[in-house]
Amino acid sequence: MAYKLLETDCPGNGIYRWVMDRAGVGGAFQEYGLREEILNKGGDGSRGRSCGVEGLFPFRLRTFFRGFSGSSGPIVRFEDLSGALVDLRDFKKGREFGMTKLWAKIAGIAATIFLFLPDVVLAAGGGEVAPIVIVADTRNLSGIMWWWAELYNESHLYFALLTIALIPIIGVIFGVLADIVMTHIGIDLKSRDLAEH
Amino acid sequence: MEWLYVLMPIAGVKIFWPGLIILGIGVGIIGGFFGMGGAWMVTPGLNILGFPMAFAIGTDIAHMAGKSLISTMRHGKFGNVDYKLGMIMLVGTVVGFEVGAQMIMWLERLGAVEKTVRILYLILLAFIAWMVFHDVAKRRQKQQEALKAGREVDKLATGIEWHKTFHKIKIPPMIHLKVAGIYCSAWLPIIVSFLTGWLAGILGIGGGLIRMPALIYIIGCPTHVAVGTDLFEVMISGLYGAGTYTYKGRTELVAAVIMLVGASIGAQIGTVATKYIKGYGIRIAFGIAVIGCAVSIVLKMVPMYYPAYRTFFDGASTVVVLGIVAALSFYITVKMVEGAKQEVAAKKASMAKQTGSQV
Repeated sequence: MAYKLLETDCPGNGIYRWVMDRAGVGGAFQEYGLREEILNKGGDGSRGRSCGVEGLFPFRLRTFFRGFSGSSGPIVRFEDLSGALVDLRDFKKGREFGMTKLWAKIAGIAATIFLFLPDVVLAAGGGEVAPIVIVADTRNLSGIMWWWAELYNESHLYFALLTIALIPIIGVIFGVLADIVMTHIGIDLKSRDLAEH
Repeated sequence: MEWLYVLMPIAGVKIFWPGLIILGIGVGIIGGFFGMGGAWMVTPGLNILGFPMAFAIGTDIAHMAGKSLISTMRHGKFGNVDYKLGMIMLVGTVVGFEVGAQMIMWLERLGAVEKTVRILYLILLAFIAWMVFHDVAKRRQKQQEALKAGREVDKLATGIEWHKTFHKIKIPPMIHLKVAGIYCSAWLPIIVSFLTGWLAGILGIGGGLIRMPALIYIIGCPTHVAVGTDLFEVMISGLYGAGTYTYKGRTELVAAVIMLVGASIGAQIGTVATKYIKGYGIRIAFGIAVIGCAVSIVLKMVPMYYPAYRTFFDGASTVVVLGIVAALSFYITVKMVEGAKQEVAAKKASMAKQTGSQV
């Protein structure tokens, strides 16, 4: 019987969420040849309790159990009918590995999209750009404006790279300047007390 | 008065630069307050200033990226940005946007879709406006019922509670979004961001107008966190969009920087105003902005049936958009100034009290 701990929610309270990697349809927890035993090691004398089967999905049976723990650590354990004991603590490593893998996958997909679809993925603002070539007229320009227009005419790539670098820099500079002014007024810019959904 | 005009090096036109700063301030205030890019507000403004439309989208996105960065920095310090949620949603948005954009190109090959797209946009905006005001009305009802029963309504209570139903879906993997205070299936933000991105791709918009209410009503983010997280997403996607448009030669950085001067002030005002305005205050103002956007689209659609009145209705649409921007900016600024005054006065009073007790 294979188990995988999906996530431990509020470990201090001993609330555990499990995924049982066994395919199957229908039926309650016991139908899978399992019974649960909840040990009470809490100092407050509270009994743990099971929240039972939460839901069924096509490829996994998900079970949710709730128990109360004391200072002695996790108190919920599971046994299959053959008597083999399953301890939650054995699966913590597996959980972390599982979540890391998920994040790695998400980051991988994002990187792939950004790398392979640079011309078509426009997450901010839509609209096709007509395929016409625009040339900047540098005859009336001088100094930095002339240099900027020349860069545009010579290489859109360098022009784009410089623009992408300049926007955050300028944004941060203006942001910091505005911060200084606001702080000078006397407003607390680091916390918000107002709480409403 | 020649000094009031600046020559755009790429577009080759002279633009009234104080106009760009004022536009930047207005859009910065609204963007920082509502958590959206605000392309629907910028384009008519640039149009009025005589900005060549070939550069309008690229310039708008470039300034939007910088402005969102400023707002995100501030919202981040207030604890309003859920970076984990933002990163998950960014992936869904990008993929969804691409699917939507490809779909609209395919539909265009089949026939004219402009009218259909605009009607779809209108229906969506009407739905969002209804959702916002229905939520406000329901919460008010709860408040009144609580008052009758002689108790106070919970500060975290909401009118519409759809997000609670969505949180019951327990398809693994489950994620805990600490800043937003949400424990839900990872598929929820992925699917929501995909759908909002897909709609944005179909409609040819940035998507902040759709994503903000989706974050609140479907994912269940508190309003302030929805604003901050959406801005974080706009910042990254805006920077990427600015790169692609600039590579195609469609960005006038000088104009973007001038707008950014105004937007940096506006973004601070809008963001700091969220400190003094309750979540439901933000939602109501957002609902009004959505209605303004819908009215401007209706006015843009009228000439499709009455082409002779095109000039009039195009002008009216611009007036409506800029009127809404001006009115909301004014309201937000006033609220921010009032709140700041009270805070400074309270600080002075507490300092005076401390000094008094020491003496």
